[in-house]
Amino acid sequence: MSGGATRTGQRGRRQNMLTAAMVAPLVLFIVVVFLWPVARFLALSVDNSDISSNLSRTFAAIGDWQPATGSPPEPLLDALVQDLAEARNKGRDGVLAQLINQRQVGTRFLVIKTAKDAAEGKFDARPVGDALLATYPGWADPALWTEIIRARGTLTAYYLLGSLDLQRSADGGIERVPADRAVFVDALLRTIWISLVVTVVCAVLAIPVAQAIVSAPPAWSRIMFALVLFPLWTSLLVRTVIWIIVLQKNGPVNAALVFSGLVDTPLTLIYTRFSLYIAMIQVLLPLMVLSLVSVMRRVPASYMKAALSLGAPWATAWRRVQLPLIMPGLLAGSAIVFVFALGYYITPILVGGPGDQMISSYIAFYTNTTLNWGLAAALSVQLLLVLLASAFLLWTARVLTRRPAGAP
Amino acid sequence: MSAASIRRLAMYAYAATVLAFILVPLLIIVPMSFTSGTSLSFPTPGFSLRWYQELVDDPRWLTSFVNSVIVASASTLLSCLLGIPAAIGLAWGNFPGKRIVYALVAAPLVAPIVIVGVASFSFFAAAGLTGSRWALILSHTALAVPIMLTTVVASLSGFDRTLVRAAASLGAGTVRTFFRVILPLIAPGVVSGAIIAFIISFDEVVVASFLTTGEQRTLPRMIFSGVRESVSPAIAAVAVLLIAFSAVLLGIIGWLQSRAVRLRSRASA
Amino acid sequence: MLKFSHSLSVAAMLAASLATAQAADTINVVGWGGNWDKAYKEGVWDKYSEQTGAKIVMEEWGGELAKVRAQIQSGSITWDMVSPEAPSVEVGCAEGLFVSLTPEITGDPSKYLPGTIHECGVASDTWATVLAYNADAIQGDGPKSWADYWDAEKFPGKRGMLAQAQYTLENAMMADGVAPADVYDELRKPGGIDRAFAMLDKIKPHVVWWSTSTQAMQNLASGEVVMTDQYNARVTNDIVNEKKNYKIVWDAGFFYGTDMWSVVKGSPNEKAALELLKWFSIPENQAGFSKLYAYGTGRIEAADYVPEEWQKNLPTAPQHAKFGATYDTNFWVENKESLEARFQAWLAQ
Repeated sequence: MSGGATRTGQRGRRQNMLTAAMVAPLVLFIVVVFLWPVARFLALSVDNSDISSNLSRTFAAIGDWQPATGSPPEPLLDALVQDLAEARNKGRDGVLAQLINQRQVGTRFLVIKTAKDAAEGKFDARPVGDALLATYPGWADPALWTEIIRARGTLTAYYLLGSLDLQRSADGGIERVPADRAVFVDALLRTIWISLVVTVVCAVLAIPVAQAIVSAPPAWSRIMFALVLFPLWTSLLVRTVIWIIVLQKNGPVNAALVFSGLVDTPLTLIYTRFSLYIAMIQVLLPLMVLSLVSVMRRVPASYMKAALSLGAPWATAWRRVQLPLIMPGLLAGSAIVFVFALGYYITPILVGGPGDQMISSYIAFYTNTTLNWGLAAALSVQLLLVLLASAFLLWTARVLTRRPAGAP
Repeated sequence: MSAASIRRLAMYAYAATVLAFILVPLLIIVPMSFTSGTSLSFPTPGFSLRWYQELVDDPRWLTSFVNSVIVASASTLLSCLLGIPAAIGLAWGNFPGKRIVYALVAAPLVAPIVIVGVASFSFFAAAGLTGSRWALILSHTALAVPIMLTTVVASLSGFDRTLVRAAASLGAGTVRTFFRVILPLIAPGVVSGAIIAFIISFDEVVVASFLTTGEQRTLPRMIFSGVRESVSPAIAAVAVLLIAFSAVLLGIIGWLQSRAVRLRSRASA
Repeated sequence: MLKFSHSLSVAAMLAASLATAQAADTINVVGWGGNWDKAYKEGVWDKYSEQTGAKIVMEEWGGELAKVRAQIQSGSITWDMVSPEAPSVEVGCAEGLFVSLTPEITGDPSKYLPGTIHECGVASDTWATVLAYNADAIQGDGPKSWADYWDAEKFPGKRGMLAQAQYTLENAMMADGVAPADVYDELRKPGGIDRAFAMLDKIKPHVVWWSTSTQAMQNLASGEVVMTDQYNARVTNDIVNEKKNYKIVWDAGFFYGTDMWSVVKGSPNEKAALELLKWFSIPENQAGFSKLYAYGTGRIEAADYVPEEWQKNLPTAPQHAKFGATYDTNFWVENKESLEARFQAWLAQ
């Protein structure tokens, strides 16, 4: 007996190892092609190596020198010249110049030209300070040195602060950026608000549809279900593009409005918050219906009937009996819709106006247009945190509303 | 009429309205794509096939279509190679960390697509792989494989494992058992999963817009840059073709699933 | 097993077809897309291909220098020749991203218009951003100045504007009465930027923003806007090809800028690209572009090959020159990032 059990145990272990080996390639693939690239990109939000590694001598030479105390000392400028020459030879001077210019506007050419001259040996004679400051007086500017000193360290909070419209103040504390430059907190709130509106409207639209699908005769139920699902099979891009065509000035909706005499001249419907809502709701609605239907199918109609036969008004019966029963589906659907909506990019870009852009658009903007990857990564961190937090909240709510089986 | 039947009627009317909101836009552009005019206005000035002709005549549309087919086929193939064994392993295996594997594999589904696009761009640029189709194929595989996995796992749930043991006791090797016994039985699930994987890659635009340039441009990428320039009737024509394409694939899956249900009920009868 | 090996060979074939082998005589040229690309292809590249057999593949970009930098850093350079704006040529050249050009390739630098030749680039096109209006949509006299453009009472209707700081701030300063030649001096003064944004505040409710020329021109055609800022060749293109009744108000003041062809250092087809650039530096070959698209090119003599009637459409035409000023390269190199960020913030408010 015992020998048999051991054999079974061995076979079980061998099989477990075999099955684990079958899963391993996929896990490896996801880690290498998805997880690692994303982690690597998010790490850019705190990465300061493009500055710290290219100015290592300079940072070492700063010591406790204060920019306010006078012009930079000879050892510092000496180190700077060496650093810039090396950066130039490694082809890193452009990045360095861009990063310094981000912090102190108007220094890009100063850095590039100094690096070029230094690499070409124009500042080889020692002492170098007077020659450097004579050619490039910009290096005597205390404001520039204040920024450079602040950019010390292999890690930086610069981008994460920036993504919250914050910056380091002159005394090293944290302050808000000037109001005319604050954009990301608004963008974040806008993203959350748009997603919230879309989720609520989807829920309101989807509940009766799901109820109709569940209570219709089987043939009709199947047809309606297929019709709801069909858009999910059509590309998001196509569904978004269609709204541009439908809502444009010469489009069918305006044609109908003018024809019916409701308006005299065509309305501006596209590239507005309105068109963004419409397009997002149409795209996400099927997901809400889907998760509601899967829960409603398990809710017997008899509960509602019982409540009504006991004399409860329909609205009360629905709110007190039906709603709690379908709540898990509603929360699951809301979680899916809300989380997807938070990350929307294509739709806001194509059918929204300049004031309707969501966080994703800014991530793309800073990646593509200004190539400020640190900021793009910081905004990504922000978006992922909001996403995880909301998913967690909705999941908690779902667990809390789940009742013991058979107890309505 | 009783209050209950009025409520029923109202519910169906409401559902019909919402369904119309979801579906009418997809239908209304069909007649618009057959316009004879140079811009998309409604009602259309006349009927013509000129914009479909333009799609055929302009080599860029054709190239991008071919690119999309290549990328989607390769991603689908990779998804099958990675997803089918993993699905069998997850369905039958009993090793620690299964939940973590599920969570890990599902991650690409919920991650904001822009982040996936930007991260892939920065990763493949550093690896020197931008400007080749491989980068896009690998990224699309990561997006498509979760669906592949779940469909195959689902089709394995009704699978009778005594068949595998029977095959083994009759002397069939693992490979033979897989191709002769397992694969035919889970085939409907694999085909459905493969079709969905194909569609996911074929329709994907954001990662494609970060990873492809010039001659590797895919069809959605082409539509995307076209739309940002101007919404020409050619775009509507492409949209109609893509909707028709989805409808055909959806039809195939529906047929496969009803067939699978019939087969299973016959087997159990 | 037969099936399995069959699918393996299919996979192998697929993999082989994916390996994108680049033919040796292919030059990847990166331009600004749309009609610009079309004019370059038909007016210039096709002729070169015909004469030499070289294949030219066109791609489009938005002038982002950092993409060139990223290609060089990663060692996988796919672009041979790019057309950045002059400020970016300045930066890229200083960084060493572009090949230095000798007179052997460019020809005698003194035979170029000022600002159209650089150590690392030869003008691909000189363009202007102008005030244009739809004469069918405005009764009576049209706008004569940027101040008129800002005057929504005198000229009711929406205006089109490019949704970015560059170009838009200049227009705002001209609307505030600053002469084109003085705009950057005023912008550099303390409070100068605030002054431009204050002007923008005034016009904001009347603006329909655009991000591509095609959008802007569609808005002008559909009557969505009655006037717009625009690249001059786009307007001329629609006047000529689509018989639109649009007017360009050159004397309202305009800014012109230059894009340049630069060869990416270390690109796989660097030599072929330099050959192409050498061929392009011949005046007659340059004129092939200007004839199709109303932008100027670098060589002074190129004008000789452009029909006289067409020359008045070019921003480089002498009769327009006195109303125009050139975009300040240095100003935008250093301020672009911060001003575009501020502009985005302003736009979303």
